[in-house]
Amino acid sequence: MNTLYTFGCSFTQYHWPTWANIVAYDLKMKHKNYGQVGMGNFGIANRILEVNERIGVDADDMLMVLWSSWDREDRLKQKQWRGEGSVFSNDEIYGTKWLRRFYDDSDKVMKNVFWIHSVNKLYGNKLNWQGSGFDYYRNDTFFEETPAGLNQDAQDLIKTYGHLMPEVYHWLNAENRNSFYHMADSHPDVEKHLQLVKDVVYPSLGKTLKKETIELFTEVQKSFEDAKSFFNKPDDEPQLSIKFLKRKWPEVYKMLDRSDLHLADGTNPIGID
Amino acid sequence: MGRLFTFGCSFTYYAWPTWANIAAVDKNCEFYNFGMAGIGNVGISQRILEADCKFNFTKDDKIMIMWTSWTREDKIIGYDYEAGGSIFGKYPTAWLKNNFHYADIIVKNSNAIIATNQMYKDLILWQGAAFKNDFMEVGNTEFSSFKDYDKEFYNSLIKMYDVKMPKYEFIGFEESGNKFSFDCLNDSHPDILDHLSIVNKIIPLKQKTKDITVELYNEVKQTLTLKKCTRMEKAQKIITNIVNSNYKDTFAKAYSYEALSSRIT
Repeated sequence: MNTLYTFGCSFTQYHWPTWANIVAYDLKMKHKNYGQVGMGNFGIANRILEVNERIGVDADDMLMVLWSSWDREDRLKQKQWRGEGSVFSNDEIYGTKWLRRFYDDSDKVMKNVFWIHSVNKLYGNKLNWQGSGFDYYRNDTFFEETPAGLNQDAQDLIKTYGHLMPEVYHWLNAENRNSFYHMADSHPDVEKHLQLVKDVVYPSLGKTLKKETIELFTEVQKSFEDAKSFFNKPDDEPQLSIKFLKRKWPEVYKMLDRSDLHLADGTNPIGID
Repeated sequence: MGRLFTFGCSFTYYAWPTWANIAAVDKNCEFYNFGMAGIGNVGISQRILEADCKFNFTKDDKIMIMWTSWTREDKIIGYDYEAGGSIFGKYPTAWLKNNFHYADIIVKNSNAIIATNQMYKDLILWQGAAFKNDFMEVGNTEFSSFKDYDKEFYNSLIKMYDVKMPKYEFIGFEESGNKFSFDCLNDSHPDILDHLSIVNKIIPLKQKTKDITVELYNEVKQTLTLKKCTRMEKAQKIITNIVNSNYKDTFAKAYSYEALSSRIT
């Protein structure tokens, strides 16, 4: 059976099915989801490289990537990539002192451009689909000492290197409402993921989603929406989502491919025993 | 041969001509040195792409790379790379205790080197590593070796990447760190004579190149000794003056540094 390899951040691997799971289900493909919560583009590119150079991708396999936001620094801890999200929202590792000393828009621009371009240069012909969960160059900063827009140095660099960026779909409305209309979380829910696949991913592949797939994931969405009272502890929502899915939709839960989640469970994270 | 592009850390671009400059003099071709003091291997990879963007590599161009220590983390501040060197000199111990892991540097360095080789393999004339031991800059004994419980994992990681890693020579430049450059300077970087001995092993040099390099070395050493110069700042001015005045057609032509900020639109 051919394999679908998907890469990205929490928009690709989350506590409920994402576009990646929907595509794998619809195409009836074996699925290896290398998406990881909090992952940046440097980490995503490294994972794509790992899969291509180490595991090897067959001609009939499929590779898809949803690039992440640009303000992330990816690091490995012990045996796994750790997704820490934006440097601006992680005081435990970074914080004001670190940001003052090491953060610069230019650094962000060069690293993201370099790694996204490298993946396209190396594996562009193998990428069946790529999109971006955020606008390129978007500044996620909430750091009061950094202006909201990119500084002049970074803008100058974009003039020189911006042309290297592939033209992709930018999922700009991914987070514009609460997940399932009631959660204290704005990650795109199943409805939004289904919409992305239907309106963006599949048309670019010349495919149409099966009726059965639409029905299944629409039902999953609806059951999450209806279970508002179940999700009454906002802090526990990720765990509750998993619990809910496992109980209510065991076959969908299995699709999340937890053996390859590379989350805190520490399971064989970069593929060697 | 078309143009020559060289990449690496301070062992490639420094206050005096390095192996890269000597190679350029020998090849007598258009030459661009993207070496940068303190840069790491991820930064070196990024600089190769930068050069490609700025100069639009052709099949006739050649690239030479001197990879550096693995324990560096590259940052661009403003218009250029920060010459930070090892992360052990950059981050405090408390931060390192929580955030430094060998897996991080093994994966990032391996991927950067492999990606560069996949992208530019046809243009790479030569590549080597300045350090015999990739992790030698650790310095801080607390982090100087793999912890027992991780040793097996880290070694497996290195072995795993080794399949795709290019096979290159370890130059061992760090050995020159045991002496004063030009026998007088308060600096332990390899001097011109050390570089000549290295580049002579990399590519067969013309006798003319060897002669003029030794001549330059002698002139620099003699001047520094006469002026009792021990400080780098003063030495750099003296050396630049010698190169620009007396080696106009050779080293002066191949002496410039390519900054990130140069040639941007």
